[in-house]
Amino acid sequence: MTQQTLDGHGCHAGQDPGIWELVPVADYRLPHTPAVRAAQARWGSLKRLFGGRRYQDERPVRAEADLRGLSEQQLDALVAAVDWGLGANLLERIVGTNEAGDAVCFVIAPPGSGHVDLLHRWATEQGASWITPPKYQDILEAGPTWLADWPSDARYWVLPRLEHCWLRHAAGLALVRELLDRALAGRLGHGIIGCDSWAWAYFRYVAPLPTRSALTLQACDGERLAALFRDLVAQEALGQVRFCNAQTGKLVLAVGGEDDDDGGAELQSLAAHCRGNAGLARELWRGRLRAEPKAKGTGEGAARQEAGAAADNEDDATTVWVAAPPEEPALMADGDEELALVLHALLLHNGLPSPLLAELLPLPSFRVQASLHRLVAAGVVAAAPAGHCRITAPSYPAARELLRSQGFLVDDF
Amino acid sequence: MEPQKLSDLLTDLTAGVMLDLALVLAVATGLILVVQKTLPWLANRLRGRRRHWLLAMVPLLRLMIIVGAFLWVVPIIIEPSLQNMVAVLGSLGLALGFALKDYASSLVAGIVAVGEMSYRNGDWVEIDGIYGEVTYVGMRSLQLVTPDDNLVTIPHLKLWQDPISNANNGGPQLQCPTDFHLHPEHDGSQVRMALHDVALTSPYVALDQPIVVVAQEQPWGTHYRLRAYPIDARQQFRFSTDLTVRGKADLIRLGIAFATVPTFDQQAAGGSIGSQKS
Repeated sequence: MTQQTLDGHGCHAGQDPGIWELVPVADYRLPHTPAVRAAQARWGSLKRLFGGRRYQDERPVRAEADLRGLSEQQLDALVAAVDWGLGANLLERIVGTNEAGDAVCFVIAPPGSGHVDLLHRWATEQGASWITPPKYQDILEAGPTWLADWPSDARYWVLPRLEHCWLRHAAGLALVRELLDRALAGRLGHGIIGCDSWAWAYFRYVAPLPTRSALTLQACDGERLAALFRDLVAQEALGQVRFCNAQTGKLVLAVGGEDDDDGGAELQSLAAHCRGNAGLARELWRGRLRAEPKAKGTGEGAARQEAGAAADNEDDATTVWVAAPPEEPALMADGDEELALVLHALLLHNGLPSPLLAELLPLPSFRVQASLHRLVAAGVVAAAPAGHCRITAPSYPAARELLRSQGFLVDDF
Repeated sequence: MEPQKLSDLLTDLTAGVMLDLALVLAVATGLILVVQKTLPWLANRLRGRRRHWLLAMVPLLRLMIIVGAFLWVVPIIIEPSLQNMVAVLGSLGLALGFALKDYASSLVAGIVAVGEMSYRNGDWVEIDGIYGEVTYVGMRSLQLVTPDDNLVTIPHLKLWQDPISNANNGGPQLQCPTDFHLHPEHDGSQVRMALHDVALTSPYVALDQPIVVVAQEQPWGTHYRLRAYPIDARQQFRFSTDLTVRGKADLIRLGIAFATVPTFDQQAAGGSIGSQKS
């Protein structure tokens, strides 16, 4: 597998820099935090340490209570799903020029970054086999059935979620060890394995891992985020869009106009908060968008107003307000050990069904359920109807910081 | 020393001097109270090395405050000349040495303990068969809280004669050995791997520390000791319980038998004293 770094090019001609870049895991560079934001963060953590409460320092330009949230449709027009076409092309160039001749390429990424969508796009374009993870019972029994059913044709295969092939249980490591052993020895043919960064950090203690063929999407800094967010706006329908900070009134991002946005620090701060995770940044950005309360209209103009428009008479641009980041849930500052154990198990497995979570933790089932209920009520964990629990995107940075401060294993991203 | 000459050594205890003395004592006491209250409070909001460092600072800062106050007070009471100092402090030392020998010895040992760091706040130590977490290091004694939640006060005097076993030595982590006693007929490699994975999959384990399985053959079977470190020293009993419970479950899953004590009937029937399959 090649070690070269291949630069992606943005969706727009001449866009600089390219949004996507696939690099070896060791070359992942965290975006820097603007000095003012870093000082604010330190001051905030100091206040939390001494039990202080947060308070608003400034009077906002637009009180958030006066602004209205946007519907899913409106948000889709402002922050569409990421088109992974360019990323898939990059991956194909790397896989196609497999100079080192490695049988398997690994794509590692932090939670919510969208690498599974990238792999899905690549697999669809290349006609590769898509391998679903084993059932949890098969993992614990380490039955040979799942590995025996591995596609034997010459096609490439993609295993998108290696983190779902193991359990933190004494009987839950054998299958992933066998899988990695066979994959690295080339006994499973050629393929790509995707893995969440938390499980990857843990696997270092479980089995020998490749470093050369483990790739990741390079961290997005403020500039790349700006390019990404511009790409995600449905400009044909909305025309010019101006994203303004609701607190300060300053322009954060301008799309389609002549405005020079001065939101470098704001987006850089978002990039640093998300540790360069573009998918997470997109989720947080989407969650912060607000619009002016407006009377409903009809037709195409209404669509613009629906998208949060506050049309400016002079340049006819749509203004969308960017609310302050959501506050960290108070229970995250408690340092409760049981909550930390639940959060860590969820992150290591990239989500788990709640009954299985109780099996993996050294706590009585009712206590695990009680912790889960607290986390769900605080919006830190989202529980799917089938009982699958996962940490929500806005809570991920705080959960990571909590676990790091308590000495738990954290990912490298 | 004659009373008249002793009075010559001391300064006149005027109202001003008394006020100075009261002020120094009040400031020193206040500082000590602030240090003793705020640093442990702050430390308990932190984890890992920073917590232990803050806790260890408490006796050190207190000692510095006391020494500072003493150096400040002495010239106020005694006419500051070398001859006067030697005379008064020598007499004081002699009196303490005879009348309060053990007390003085504990005080000196307390200073040595702070300097040598034989134990610090937050350390898990065993002194004279008593194991617990050091919660307070005073001038004369230290206090331990045992796993059974008993508060034990031990004079620093023990430092001179008894061995002090410190499990974490100022760090956040300590080793938790967990024992398994197995029937001799089993695959040792399989057991070693299984026990290693039991520790590796414990949510409490500090992954950056080594996990070691030590086996020793005994007349009754095989003794395995699983050595691993929890993330935080305060988790040690939860950690070793987790290792024991899950280790046992995994060994049973693998069909490994545990060593058991033979019953009287088995011995009478000619069975050797050793392990039996459970």
